[in-house]
Amino acid sequence: MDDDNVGYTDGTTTISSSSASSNAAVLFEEEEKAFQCIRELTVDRIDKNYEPNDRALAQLRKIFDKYLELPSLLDRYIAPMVNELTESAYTNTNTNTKNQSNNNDCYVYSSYDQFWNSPLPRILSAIYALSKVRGRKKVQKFLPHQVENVEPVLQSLLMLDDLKQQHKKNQSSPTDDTTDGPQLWESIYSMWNWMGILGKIPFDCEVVIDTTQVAQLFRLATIYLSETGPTRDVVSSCLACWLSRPDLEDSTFRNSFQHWSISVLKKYLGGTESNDETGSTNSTLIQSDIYTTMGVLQTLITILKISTAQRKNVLASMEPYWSLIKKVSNATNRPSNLLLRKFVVKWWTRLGVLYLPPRIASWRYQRGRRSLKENLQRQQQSSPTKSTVNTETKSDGDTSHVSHQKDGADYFFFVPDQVEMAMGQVLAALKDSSTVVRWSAAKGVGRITSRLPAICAEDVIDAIMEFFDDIQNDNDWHGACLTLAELARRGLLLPHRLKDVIPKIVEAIHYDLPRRQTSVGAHVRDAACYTYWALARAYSPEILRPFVLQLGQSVVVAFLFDREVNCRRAASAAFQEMVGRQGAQNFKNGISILTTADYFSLGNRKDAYTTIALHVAQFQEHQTAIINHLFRVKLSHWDPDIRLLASQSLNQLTVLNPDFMVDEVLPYLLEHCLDDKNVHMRHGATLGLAEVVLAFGKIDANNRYLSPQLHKLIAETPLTIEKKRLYRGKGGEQMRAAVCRLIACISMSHIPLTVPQQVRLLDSIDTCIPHPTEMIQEQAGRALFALARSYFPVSGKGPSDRLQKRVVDKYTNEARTSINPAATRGYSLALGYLPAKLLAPSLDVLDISLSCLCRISHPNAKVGNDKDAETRRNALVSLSRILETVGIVPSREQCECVVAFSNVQLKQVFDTYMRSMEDYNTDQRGDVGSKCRLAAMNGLVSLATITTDQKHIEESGVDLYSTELCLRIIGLLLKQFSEKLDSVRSEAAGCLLTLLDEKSPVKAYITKRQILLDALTPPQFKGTLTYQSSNWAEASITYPMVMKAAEIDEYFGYVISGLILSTGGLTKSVTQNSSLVLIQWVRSADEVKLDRLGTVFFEIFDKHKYEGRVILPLLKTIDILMNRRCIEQLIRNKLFSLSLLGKLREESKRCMDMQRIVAILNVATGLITSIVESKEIVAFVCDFLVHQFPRIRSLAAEKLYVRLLETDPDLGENHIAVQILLSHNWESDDENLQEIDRDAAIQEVLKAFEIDKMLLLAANTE
Amino acid sequence: MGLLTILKKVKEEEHEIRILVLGLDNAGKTTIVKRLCGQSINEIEPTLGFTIHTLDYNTNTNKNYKLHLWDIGGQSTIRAYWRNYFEKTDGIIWVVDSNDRQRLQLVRSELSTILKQERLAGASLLIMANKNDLQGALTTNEIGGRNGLRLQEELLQGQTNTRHWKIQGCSAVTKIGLSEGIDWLVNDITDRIFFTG
Repeated sequence: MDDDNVGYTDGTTTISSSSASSNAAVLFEEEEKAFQCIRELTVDRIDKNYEPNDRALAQLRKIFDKYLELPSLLDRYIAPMVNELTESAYTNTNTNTKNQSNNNDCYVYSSYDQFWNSPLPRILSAIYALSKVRGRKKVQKFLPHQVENVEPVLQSLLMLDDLKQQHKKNQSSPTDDTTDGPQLWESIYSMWNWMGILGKIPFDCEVVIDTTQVAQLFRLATIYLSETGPTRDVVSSCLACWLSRPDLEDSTFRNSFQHWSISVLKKYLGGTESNDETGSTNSTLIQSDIYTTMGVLQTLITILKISTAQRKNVLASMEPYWSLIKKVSNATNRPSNLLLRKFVVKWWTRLGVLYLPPRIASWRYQRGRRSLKENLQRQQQSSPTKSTVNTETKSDGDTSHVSHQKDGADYFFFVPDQVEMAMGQVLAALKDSSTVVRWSAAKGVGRITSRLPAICAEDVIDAIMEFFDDIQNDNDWHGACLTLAELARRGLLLPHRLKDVIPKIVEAIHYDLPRRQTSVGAHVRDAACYTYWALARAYSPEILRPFVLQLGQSVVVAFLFDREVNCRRAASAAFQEMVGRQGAQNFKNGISILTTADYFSLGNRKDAYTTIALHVAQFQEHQTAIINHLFRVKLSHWDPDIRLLASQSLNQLTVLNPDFMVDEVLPYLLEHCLDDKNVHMRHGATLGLAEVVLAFGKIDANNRYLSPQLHKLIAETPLTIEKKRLYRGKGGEQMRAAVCRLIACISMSHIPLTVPQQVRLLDSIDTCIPHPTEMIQEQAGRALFALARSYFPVSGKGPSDRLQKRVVDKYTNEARTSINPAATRGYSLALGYLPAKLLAPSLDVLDISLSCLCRISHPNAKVGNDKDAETRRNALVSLSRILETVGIVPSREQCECVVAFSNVQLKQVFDTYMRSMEDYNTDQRGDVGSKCRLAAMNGLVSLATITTDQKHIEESGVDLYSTELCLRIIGLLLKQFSEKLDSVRSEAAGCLLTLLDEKSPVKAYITKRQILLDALTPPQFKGTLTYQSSNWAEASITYPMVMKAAEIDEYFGYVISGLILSTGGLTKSVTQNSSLVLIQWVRSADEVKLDRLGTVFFEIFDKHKYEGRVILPLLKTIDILMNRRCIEQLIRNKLFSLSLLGKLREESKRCMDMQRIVAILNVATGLITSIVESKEIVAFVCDFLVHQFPRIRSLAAEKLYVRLLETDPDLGENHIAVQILLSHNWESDDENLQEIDRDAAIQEVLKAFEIDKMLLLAANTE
Repeated sequence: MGLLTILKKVKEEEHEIRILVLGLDNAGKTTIVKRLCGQSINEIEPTLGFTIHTLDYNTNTNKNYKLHLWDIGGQSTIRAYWRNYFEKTDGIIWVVDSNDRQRLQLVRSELSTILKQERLAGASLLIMANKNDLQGALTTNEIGGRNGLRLQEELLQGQTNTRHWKIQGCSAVTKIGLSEGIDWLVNDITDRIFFTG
């Protein structure tokens, strides 16, 4: 067996040994490149051109940035990289210094420029870049640390400081400001980092460095402690290293640092105090003092951590700071700087820890964890490991755990007062306003407690528990949760305290404190998940068993229903840990739940509320908790979206436990939807009631669950709500929508209603229909849909007169005549929701609705004095709905009193849609007509589909559909598909694909269907084209398709008339892409095609005379094509240019739109081919020289001048006309004085060009 | 500053390693894990779902790591366990029954599915050829080779660069081969993620 092993493991070894480099390639993909960069940036350039080095540096930084997420991948390569960098630093600085002197100060550059024109700053910046990604401590280890390094590094630091001063004086140095190049502070940073490791050289200080140099170093370091950036961190760490040297412990340096640092703290306190006393803004405390204070604290903290001296000596050296730092952290005078607060917390933590001997608390709780090696070495034993409290024994025996009552010596021992004080300070910091500080404090509490005797630890937990007293203080709760997690993780939260702690944690996982419009508490809930996670990890299943149900239920509810995705995920992570650690006995269905509710599926809140909740609620142990939480908590959540989701979730869950719903949920909901105090509760309860009623509609066909009394209560609820005036005030709108939903659900579940109740519900809906909020109108429409279908029976003779008047007549009348847009919108929408029995008892009645909708959807229809796009859109949408409800074939199933659409009526609808495809109305919101066009597009598609369906044609005998009609429809859709709005284009694409589809009955009628389909198919989707396969809103994808479709003659005109709107539009991406395809097409077009294009232009001119919306883009498009010299051929065609001139003249007549006039001018000047040939055009342009707008006059002169020089180079600057155009002051405003002057000037120009205006005019009229 | 950051930090600070123990049912996963935990192997039932065990591991260089072994039932849908959550999986122990010739091809297809998982891309793979103390057990060569799992020929093709792997013969009952396997796995992982130079 062993042989086999070796045999095959050889295979493994070969793989890992032979592939050392390929392994590397995996973990650090860019290894080779990185080393290349390093070599490149270390090159010493004789020509002093360090640009390649800077480029290499920039590239290196880029590579490192990729590893910010998982920097440990770089670990293996840090050593070689640092080596390469530092070695070359040595060599090339040595050569550099040879010319200067032969001493050892190899890093000395006397001037800023000299330093800068060397590879050194690049090298140091590269070391910084590495420190940034992997942490300075990791990098520090690999910096050379021989005695011989000390002096050069110190000299370099001094030199860099010099350079910094020089640089400050001489700010104009350009190199330092470029972001790509090396930065001076990066060099300083790396050098201090280097100095830090040198402080750890174990030889006697005198060997390493002489005393004057130590003094220099400390002097410099204290200056740099006031740095604002990361340099301060590295300097304080370096300083701490040197100060902690045992051989410097009693030195004068040590004392002088103490004096200095105390003075810094005093100054800081003095500054803040005086600031407090005066209460004024002129603080005596300057910013740098704060940073110096931080630097001092950081240094002290590091000393506390790394000092190898006797504990009592270190503590003695810290004593002088005590009172000062206590003042700094005094709660009434807290520093505003959060980092400073964090450092203060750390100081207290480390201090408190140091007062106690380093030991692992023997009383702590340990779950049966054992050393793997021992387990394997031990002789086979059969006793299963029991992990009960403190019966675990480590085999080496030194930490044997006896029941803690017996361990008296450890249980009570002397704790210095200072520890208590430090702990007090850290506990206070748990209430800090900043998360960072609280987190640091939580860890601090854990660290100190682990050295305390058990009895004191009890006090700590008591103190933490008090944090939960103030329910209003979310920060307290957060701090407490973090601390409990830390304590549990370290085994310091003993099992007997769990019964106090766990109820609070369960409360915390649902902590949600309303605050103004929103709430706070997500951070508390997240921290509570951490506590859950830590508890699951820390204790054995036996200990947690009494709490498992409570913990499990609450965490399941949290991961299903928390509002925030991070909390849902955190809770599910905690749950997974519980299931894995606490075993299947404790969590019966944990596995099944986990497999459904994972990190990804919980990412979507709606899924969590519906499908996943349904799955989890199948399990009895969670079901009641889930339902209870939903209706008692989440239905009154402050976020309306959550209330809605909770109601939908309840709908899903009803089927699982109908009895519980009837007994517990429904009574609660019926009561609370009348709650007049809490609007969230009322709204949520109403929604919940609606959804639960709906769910019962599906399962309660025999009225097994809902009693008649319950039916009655439910039926009365909408009316009671209205009666209690709960629509009024804040949240009233939401209530209206919710009540509409309730009515809809009541109707869909066929809850028995009396006729008066039916009418009153209809009345109730009627009040919501004309509501100004679109969402309420929509909900009212849906309620109407359900109500009118489920109730209001209609006899064979059709609806009664009263019902007819009450509904169809009333609605059409309101929609047609009301001057309130909210009403017309609402009623036009409501018409579409009516059932066939009311809409179409006869053709005449159907005509009432149809003619009303057709009329109010007209692009020029007005509501009151204004047009209203939403009314028009709703009317179009309702037309489609009615068409669907009523149909074109008399339905056999429906009662006989229902007719179908007649041919005339269908034609009417077709026309209406076609007309609305040209709805380009705008208002202050922009192209609102697009809403109508969208509705019309969809309407056309469904209409076309219905009318071409073979079965329908056979049965109804209707065949009004023809290829010509279809051509127009497709053409209009193509036009929309080539226009400028992304949403319109993508909708049009959807419509086109539906019609072109293999299964669509329309396809037979479509001209050149296959070619068109090919045009719209991107090459990679041949044969599999669906709407999803392409991003139809993306201009760069769709315009090439558009142009391909234009190749089909029949659709050419449509496409071009849409395309010009895009090309001449304002949106950059659209304009660019559309003009690109148009230009390409024109360039490749032959004469016939170009003529065709010209013809289309003229057609558009004729069709949209004076319509700026179309004419301006058209002019712009022509201008673009002219500028790109795409239509030279057309311009040279006399007939074309004269016709175009005619159009321009026509358009310019009554145009006061500046943009359009400019466009006309542009096109007109573009038409000039030469003076001799284009006299008419020149004359036309000259007319603008007397235009009433000064700017147009000067623009015309300028354009004309430029164009003339372009077309007739011989003309020259000296031509008299040119002279006049240039020299005359066209823009002058002084009317009376200038007018005569201008006329004379123009006459001269015309004369110079030998243009006889009268003659031209005469020719024109002929 | 949420749970994600905390767990990430804890994992690094405490030198934690997460290992999934996978394999077909009845391959001996739980037996191996129980052995590693020093628990009795007398009563072992099919694992439903999963169990997490924590172990201390001291290296020769006196470094202490915490191993979290995720013993995952052979029958359960295991997808969720590595797709899930904030902890990264560092290693996979795939347990094979060296006597189960019939299902070797099934093992191959299962393993191949697992190895394709993106989330497990960097994880070291230790294949434990279990129960090789029994007579007639396949050798590791046979299991990994051309007629078995076709490791190099197929499974690890294109992954040899990314995947560190080893196949180790062992017996959970006699304990032979267990510590060699674990040593290799831990060394390989720590080399990768806690490399200290």
